[in-house]
Amino acid sequence: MKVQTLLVMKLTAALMLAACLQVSAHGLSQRITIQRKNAPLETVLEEIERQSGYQFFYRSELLSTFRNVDVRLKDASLSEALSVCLKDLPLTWSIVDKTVVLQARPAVPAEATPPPPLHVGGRVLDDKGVPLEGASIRIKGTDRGTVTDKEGRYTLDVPAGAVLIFSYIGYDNTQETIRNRPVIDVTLHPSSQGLNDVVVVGYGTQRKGNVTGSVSTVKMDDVLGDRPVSTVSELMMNVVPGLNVTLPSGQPGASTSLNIRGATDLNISNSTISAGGPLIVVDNVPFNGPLNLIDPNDIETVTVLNDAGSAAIYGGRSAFGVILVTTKKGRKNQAPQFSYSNNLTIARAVNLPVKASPQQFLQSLKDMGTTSYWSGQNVALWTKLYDSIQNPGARYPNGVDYIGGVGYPLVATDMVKDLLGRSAFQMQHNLSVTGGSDKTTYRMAFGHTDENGILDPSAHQDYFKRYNLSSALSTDVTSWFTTQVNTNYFNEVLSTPSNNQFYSAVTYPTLAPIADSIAAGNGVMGLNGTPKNEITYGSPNVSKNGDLRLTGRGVLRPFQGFTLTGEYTYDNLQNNQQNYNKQLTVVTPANFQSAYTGTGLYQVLSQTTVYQSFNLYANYNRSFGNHNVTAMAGFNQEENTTSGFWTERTGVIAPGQPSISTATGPLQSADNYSAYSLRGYFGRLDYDYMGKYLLQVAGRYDGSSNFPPGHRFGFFPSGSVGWRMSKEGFMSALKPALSELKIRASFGSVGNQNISPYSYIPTISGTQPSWLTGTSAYLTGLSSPGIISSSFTWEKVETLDYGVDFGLFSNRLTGTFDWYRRDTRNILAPGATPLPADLGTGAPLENTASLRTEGYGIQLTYSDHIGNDVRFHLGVNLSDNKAWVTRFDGNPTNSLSTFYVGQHVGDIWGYTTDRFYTSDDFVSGTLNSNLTGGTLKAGVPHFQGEAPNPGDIVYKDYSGKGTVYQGLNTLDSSGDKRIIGNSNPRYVYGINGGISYKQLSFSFVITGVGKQQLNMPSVLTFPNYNQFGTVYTNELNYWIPSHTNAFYGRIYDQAAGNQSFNQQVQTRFLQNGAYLRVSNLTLDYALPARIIQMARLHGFHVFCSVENPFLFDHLPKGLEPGLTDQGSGLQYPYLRRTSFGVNLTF
Amino acid sequence: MKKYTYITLLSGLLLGACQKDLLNQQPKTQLTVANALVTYTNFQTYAWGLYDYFTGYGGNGFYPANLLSQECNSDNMAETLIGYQSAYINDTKIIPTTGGATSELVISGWDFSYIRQVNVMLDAINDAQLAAADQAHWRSVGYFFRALRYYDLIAAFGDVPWIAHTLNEDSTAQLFGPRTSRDTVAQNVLSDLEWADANIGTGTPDGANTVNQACIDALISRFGLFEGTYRKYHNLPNADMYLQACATYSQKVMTQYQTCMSSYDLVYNSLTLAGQPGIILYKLYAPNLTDHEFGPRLMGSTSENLDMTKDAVASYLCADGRPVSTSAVYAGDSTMFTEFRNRDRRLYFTVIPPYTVTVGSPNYTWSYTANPADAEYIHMMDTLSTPSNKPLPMVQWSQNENTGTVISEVPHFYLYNNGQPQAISQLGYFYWKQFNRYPLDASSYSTTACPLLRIEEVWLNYAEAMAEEGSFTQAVADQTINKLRPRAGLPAMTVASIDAGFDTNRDPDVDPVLWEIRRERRVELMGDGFRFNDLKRWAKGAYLNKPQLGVHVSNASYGNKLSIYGGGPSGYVQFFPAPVGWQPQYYLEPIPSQELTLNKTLKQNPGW
Repeated sequence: MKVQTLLVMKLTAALMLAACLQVSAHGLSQRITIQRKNAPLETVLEEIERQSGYQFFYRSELLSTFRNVDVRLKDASLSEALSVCLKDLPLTWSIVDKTVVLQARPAVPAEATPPPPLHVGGRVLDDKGVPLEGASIRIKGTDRGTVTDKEGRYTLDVPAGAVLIFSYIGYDNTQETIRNRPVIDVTLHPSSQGLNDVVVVGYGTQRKGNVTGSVSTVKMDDVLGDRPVSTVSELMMNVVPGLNVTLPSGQPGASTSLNIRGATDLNISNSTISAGGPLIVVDNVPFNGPLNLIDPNDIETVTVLNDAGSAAIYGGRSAFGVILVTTKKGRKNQAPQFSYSNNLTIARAVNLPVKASPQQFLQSLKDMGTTSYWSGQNVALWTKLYDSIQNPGARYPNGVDYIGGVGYPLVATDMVKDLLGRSAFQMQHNLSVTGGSDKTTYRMAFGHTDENGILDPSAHQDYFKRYNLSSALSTDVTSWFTTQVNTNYFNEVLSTPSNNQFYSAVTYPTLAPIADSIAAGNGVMGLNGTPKNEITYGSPNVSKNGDLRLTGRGVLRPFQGFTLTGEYTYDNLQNNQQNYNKQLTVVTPANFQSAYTGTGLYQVLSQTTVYQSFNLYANYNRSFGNHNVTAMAGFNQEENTTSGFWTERTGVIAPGQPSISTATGPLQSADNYSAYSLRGYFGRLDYDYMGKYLLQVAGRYDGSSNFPPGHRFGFFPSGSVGWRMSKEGFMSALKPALSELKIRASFGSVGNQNISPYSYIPTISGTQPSWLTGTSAYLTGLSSPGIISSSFTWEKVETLDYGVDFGLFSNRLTGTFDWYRRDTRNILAPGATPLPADLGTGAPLENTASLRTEGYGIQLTYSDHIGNDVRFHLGVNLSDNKAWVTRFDGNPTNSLSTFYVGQHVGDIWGYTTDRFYTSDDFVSGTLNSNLTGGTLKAGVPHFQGEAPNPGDIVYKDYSGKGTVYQGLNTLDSSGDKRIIGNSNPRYVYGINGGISYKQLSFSFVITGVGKQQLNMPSVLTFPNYNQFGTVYTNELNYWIPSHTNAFYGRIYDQAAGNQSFNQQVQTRFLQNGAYLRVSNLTLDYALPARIIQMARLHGFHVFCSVENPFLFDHLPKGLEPGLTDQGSGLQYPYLRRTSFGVNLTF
Repeated sequence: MKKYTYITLLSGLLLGACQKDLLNQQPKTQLTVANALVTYTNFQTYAWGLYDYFTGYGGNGFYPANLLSQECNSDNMAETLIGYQSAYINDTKIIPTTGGATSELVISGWDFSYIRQVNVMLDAINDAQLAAADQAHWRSVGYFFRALRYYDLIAAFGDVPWIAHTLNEDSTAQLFGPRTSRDTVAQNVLSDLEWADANIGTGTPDGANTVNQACIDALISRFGLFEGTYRKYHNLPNADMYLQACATYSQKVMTQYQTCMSSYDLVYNSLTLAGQPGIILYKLYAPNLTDHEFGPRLMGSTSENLDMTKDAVASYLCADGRPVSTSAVYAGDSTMFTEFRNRDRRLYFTVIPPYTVTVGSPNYTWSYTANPADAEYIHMMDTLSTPSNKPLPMVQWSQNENTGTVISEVPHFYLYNNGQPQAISQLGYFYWKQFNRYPLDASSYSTTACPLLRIEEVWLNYAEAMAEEGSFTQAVADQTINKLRPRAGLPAMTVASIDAGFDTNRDPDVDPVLWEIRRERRVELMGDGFRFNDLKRWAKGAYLNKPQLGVHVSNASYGNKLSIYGGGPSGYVQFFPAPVGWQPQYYLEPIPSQELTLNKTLKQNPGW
């Protein structure tokens, strides 16, 4: 074995040398004499070897099939001897130094002399008879060919009997054998949307037409296009029906979350229904890092396995779907092709909230009855000052006038704009080379992303950087053995300002001074503590991820139809964080007090996740007449260990250079470790009859270390069937219109092991008591162990899926529809009934809850062309789902503060707004001059605990008790609370399309949500929302005695009084969360072919792309659906990114 | 042939990859009872977590500290924010569905997690590698903490389940059984503590300021008085036994601790109480480790209002040792200035005295006003306080206490704040017992130590127990109350001089001497969280029915913005409406409704 391998290696080396050195047989001097009859060729060669002193290199099986030879030689040269010996044998030889290399001679046509070439010509038309310009015609087996002209004509000299291959992008290839015909006209048909394309499924591939599960495949280059987007998740937003991408912030590098088909599980710890993420699989192996580590440019396709029928094969982590990422690779016999693209972007926020004007702000103070503001400003005097001074900016450079030691800010400012209003520069570069010989393919790529955020870009704290280095190498060692090595290194740096004071940017009133330094109340000038300055002079938290991922794979094909694949992956994800919350002394612009901000805490965190996976699986594929069978069986095991530590200290000596060793505060540190492992045995059988009747069954026997011994393994079967009706004879009449129709159904169950490791072990953790015995260090304490059920096991996720795939008009219009129902059963939740508090700890987790999700998804794609120059495509997808709790044993009283049976995801409980109290609701004479202190007339309802005033909100008193209240907060006694809305996004859609005319193309991406209600109370949606609130232009319609027909109720000084009663969750303040966002517009110009050829390039595009150009929604200005509140309602908005770039291949 | 060799090789790889115990993952940074509770040091480590039952002055971001929020459920104080009136005062106390608080001196919730935490330790003692004496020591420490928790549980609910060992889901008899009677639980607590007193390691085996014999005895003193008087005034048996235990163990502590700290202010405003006379146990804080918001930070806040009541202020004696009703030196309450003249010094350390100054520019400077009377208490505090404690005028909180804005005037009303919205009060009696000017740590929090067990309380427990037993004599007074009088600037109590006419404002149902003992307790422990339980055990919940009034003012001086009790141009400031009234069922807390659903044998407390 070893020797053989060595020989193969030597042979390879010798072949390479032969090619390089071009050494011929001249100058051989040694003479050879042999006489043999009917001798094995091998023996003869050994004799020549001995006499000549030359070494022979050949593959041993090369000679084994040849008959014996007769040789008579006397004093022959080596070349003469070889010529005689190898006469008539299909072998060639070459000599390199003292080595003779023997190889099989490539097969050549039998004809000794080729017949004269034939002159062939014709036209290439599409199915409507329109000529196709630029269609390519190639002689099969060669690289010779030509392209058609404007009228679709071509001419070519070809050998008689040759085969021509006609191809055109977007059309199926056609082959024609010449058979001495001088004119060959060809009609090309639009490609059947890749029904013969190969789709990646778990541990194998399948023809798209034969797929019976719910599988969506996206070509990454199609969704990436020229967009200035660096992360896969953002590109996948609203692209595939049912794949929900949450991008909660526009901040560069913001983490995203993915989910397939809505709610998945119950989060027991905080009583929320969670939408868990799918398993991410890259080239067949689970990927542990965030998906966004991968450069989209390195991805060939993303395949979403929606249903259990297709996902179950990946076992214990695939319960909520699988996203299969297939990376780009080289192709055989391809000359090296380099490609480079870049994207230079200017990003800025365009949708920011607008503060009320100074007059409106001062008026609101008066309306609330505020006479004295934070630092003692007399509101009446302030108003007078503001009204009397023209051009205060010139008069008060710091924005503040001081009267009697009290600062009166007089210049209109906008802290939100100061924080978020700047432009940032971003760029991306990608360089790759791909190619291959007849045995080897390769691809190497380098990508770099550098994105600055808008939080004071000059401070360089808000940024995201990523470097990607990847290589994929595949070599056919023999005709039946291929080895592959994939090496990837991902490195990203995410920096965010540590003292990110979104909340104060929102709450400072429009007059708060914005100058860099202002005077404190004690007269001393100091740094103005604006949110922007907190960033500029603060320091960042820096998180670095480095992921090294190595995969080695061997593929054996010992006989026709059988492959055996063994693969091993080692993945090392390293996360390091340095967080420094630098302490600054600032003057707070709200009250002119000198104050510290920031804690001064410096933290170092380090975490390493080592993941190893080993897969061995075999595929066997065979046809018996019309019966086609593919069988797959395999074994998989994975082990994941996470270990890390953190340490922190205050008292940094040099704030410009924080470190743990040089800090002086108490040292704190801790470590963590957790590991899980999985082992699974799986198999799948695909059967089809004539490609018409399709059946797939699969099963997986899975074990997880997360479960107690004896409950570790589970068996999870799945199956699916399909019927390609369009292949039936009775459908042929419909064929011209209905080109493809398939109905399918699948059902499967998958285990979910996604619970914390060691849940079955009653563990004791280290704690940090607040009790101290000294002033320099914490003590260590120990927690008490909880009660553990030793019998819990896998949650089971069952998915039923019905689907239809269809194609119309030669598949120009294709579509897919899926309806599904997913039941998450046996969710680990507190025991069958909660136990009395006497127990002293939570009831142990048992498999006692269930959740159901139901929904559908539609995808339609249309592509066509008008004439030869205009091509267009349009894709539309829509999905919807609802989810509700179907079992929860742990809530016998149906309390609304935890899960209850029938609870729908997103339900909003609240009161129904009725009207405002008027003076008529009060016993006459009881109201004072401020319209407070009145006594309600009998029968007028009031909120429990409220003594209402005119202008306060009256809620519907459903119970008729005269008191509006929440009852016992149970389903049966919810008082006057009702389900008033639902925040689950419904009718989620995406539209993408493009049109091209000759070299110019235009594309767009639209995303949206059709229906959603949001309850988003904050400073930005409610006037004077809290004690530190202020007013925005969208909040001025509040109740005052002279304006009672208002939207908002009465507002109170410092948001005290009855304001909390007016701010209950209620029908009036629900926001309509439906929206339509134009996510991208791109214009691309490809340089014409002749210019490209002159420049010796393969392709050269220039483009301009705008990300997030338009948003149509119903929220107040500055708020967008789906973004996370970063403080007092303010969001880090999606940025409008305008980019330019080039894309060239050479 | 070779291809089969390759296949064999791959199969070999597969076998190599098959570790037998792959699915057996064990934690590395967590322990189990088997390896966490073995040695003496292990038990010491585990026990540090039990000390967290003492919340002291609170932790980061939690305010007001538990002891003050308890005081607001009494006639001592009010948290004067809308919606914050005590539920026992405005009749909004409702039956909760689950849970509730679990920390020292707080109205307890129906929560037994702390009991479980202690029981895990107690149950592990027998299997641990401990000498017999060490076993006894850790059992004693465990008993102390369990008793500490049961004291709060009994105070809240009366009957509670007695849980002696760790329960699990199969302990159905206990989980679904009825409550244990108060008689049994209280008896168990007392005998556990008595056993611990006899068996705990001598001296301070776990270092200074840890649970030792004196702590156990001080707890018996506290619990004995509570249970004894509760039984006496609620007509339950065996009151004597608990009062006797209180007396016996109080005396034991009193032998060991014979003096108290010379400054009342420093008891509450010292960075450490290590080695201070009379301090038995205290909670230590340290910069950037554990700190609290008590002290300057929130006392200078714009949104935390804690006011003393008129009734509480009036309970302080005058400098002649007589109450305001009969004192010759009492100057009347027509203004806050007259009201504060010639009073128990503890009043000045608890409520900020009145003054007016002129704030300068920069605003941390100030000057006297033209009227010398405005500075009366500024001069007085200069003699009573150090510059780092409570000099006047008060400065509002800032990072550097020397550059904080000077509060121009006290009383400093929320509704009339002179443009200074910090350190405001609704009633005028601004509580400032924990105020000082020590530097704050980097988180801008305070690190002054909180006394937990001290001899002053034991003296008061002893005095009251003796009075309830009819054994209070001048000798007992001299051993107890008269040790507190010097630092308050008051003459000694003369028992013989206290008759029915000593305080004409006395609750006529209370014996005159007992009334004075209770007064001394109220004043000395003002703000320390005892008053609510005191009122409950005396069956004096009706004291909460008194309106919570503030300073006597002329409303014209404050822009007529204040609410005057009973209306009119001048009078006592009022914030909350008149109390709805104490309900008899309040003496015992309601059991959460979910518990009654889960355990059908559990019965609700009467009246709920």
